[in-house]
Amino acid sequence: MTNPELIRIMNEKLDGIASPEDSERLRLALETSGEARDAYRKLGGVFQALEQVPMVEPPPDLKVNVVRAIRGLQSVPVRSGWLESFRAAFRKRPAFRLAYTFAAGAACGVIALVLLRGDFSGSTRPSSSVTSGAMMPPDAGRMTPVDRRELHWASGTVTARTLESAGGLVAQIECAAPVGTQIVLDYGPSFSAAGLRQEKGAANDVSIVPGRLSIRVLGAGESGYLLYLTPQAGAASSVRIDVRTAGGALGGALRTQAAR
Amino acid sequence: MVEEDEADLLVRSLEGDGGAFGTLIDRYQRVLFNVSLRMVGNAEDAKDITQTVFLKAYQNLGTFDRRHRFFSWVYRIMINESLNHLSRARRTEPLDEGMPSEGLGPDEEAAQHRLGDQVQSALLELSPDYRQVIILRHFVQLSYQEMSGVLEIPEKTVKSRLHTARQLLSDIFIKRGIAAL
Repeated sequence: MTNPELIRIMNEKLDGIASPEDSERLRLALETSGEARDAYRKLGGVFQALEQVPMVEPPPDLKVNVVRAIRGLQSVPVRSGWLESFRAAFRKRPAFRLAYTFAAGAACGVIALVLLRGDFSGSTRPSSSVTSGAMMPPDAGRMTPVDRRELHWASGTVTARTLESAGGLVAQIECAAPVGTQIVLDYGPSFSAAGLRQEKGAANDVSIVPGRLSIRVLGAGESGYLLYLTPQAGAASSVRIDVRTAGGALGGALRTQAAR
Repeated sequence: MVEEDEADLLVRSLEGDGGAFGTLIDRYQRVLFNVSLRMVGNAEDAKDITQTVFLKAYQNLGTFDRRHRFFSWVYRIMINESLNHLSRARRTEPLDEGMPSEGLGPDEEAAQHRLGDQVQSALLELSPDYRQVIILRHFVQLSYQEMSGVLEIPEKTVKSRLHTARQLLSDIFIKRGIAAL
């Protein structure tokens, strides 16, 4: 007989935790019942089969990727906390808003000089969580959606949108992707980058060179970016999003208002 | 001694000693990667999940209650992350061009006939609740009590779930004619 109690004893015997009394009960049951012997043999087979499954060595770059991502994360809480408290202080005191606006404008002016000099390469790392660039972010309500591209794979999603604004085109990238994922937005000679804002998320490795924004995901969770683009006269217009994951690549083009 | 050593590593990690956390990664990456691999059945996804688990552990190290076992905490993160992945994978359909084929080539076809692959395939037929108890018991060799701590369910529930999971696995093995029987 293979009643639930006997099944329990069989499991505990094979787990090596059966009491001497239970072991004796099992021995007697196995001696007298073919059904019990069959059940015990099948259960033992499960244990044997599971033992055949080998432990697999983790990929050699697993630790390296984690350590690199941790290095990228370490400065984030300090920097974003500082910025947020700075903003909050101005929000709480309306009289300071004017000063804040002036300070922000002055900062953007300095950044604009850097942009105009074309010295725009290199990693922005966690500091990309603040707005950089000559063009102040327009009001989201004034942006008109132009196109949208969603890229899905087993372990992540990247959504790219193009939006038209008074100052030109805005490319929005939102991603929930594993560490190591590479996201590239190519806008070629059609546009020049006027500003980049990280809306949310972890500290990723972000770099901008003329015609291209590259993001390498270093932290878990969702990230979001707005790239402000100014159309260049005479250049054909195109924007393309590409994602390289550990399992392959995917991507697609996005329409721009200027292309019509 | 091992516990003291681990406590020291945790303290040093909290103080920003990257090397100490690196030692914890060395200690747990193999078993966590294998837990994830058996949960999701795909090495690339298992790697991503394991990396995410270590990052989450690092980011939340300050909230870890050091009266408890570190491995219980980190295994719990792993199990939750694997379950989240499985849930996302069910909701998400591959959409765009350029994704690698999911089909198996001749070599993979041959490899899949090996017992280990058949067992892995059978594991994936179990529901995640049953799969995780099999993995924690048979691949991580946790005791019922330790599994109860990781899964945050009573030990009695662990036992009954594990026994049922083994019975289901036995049925799948028989249905598929898996050789160890």
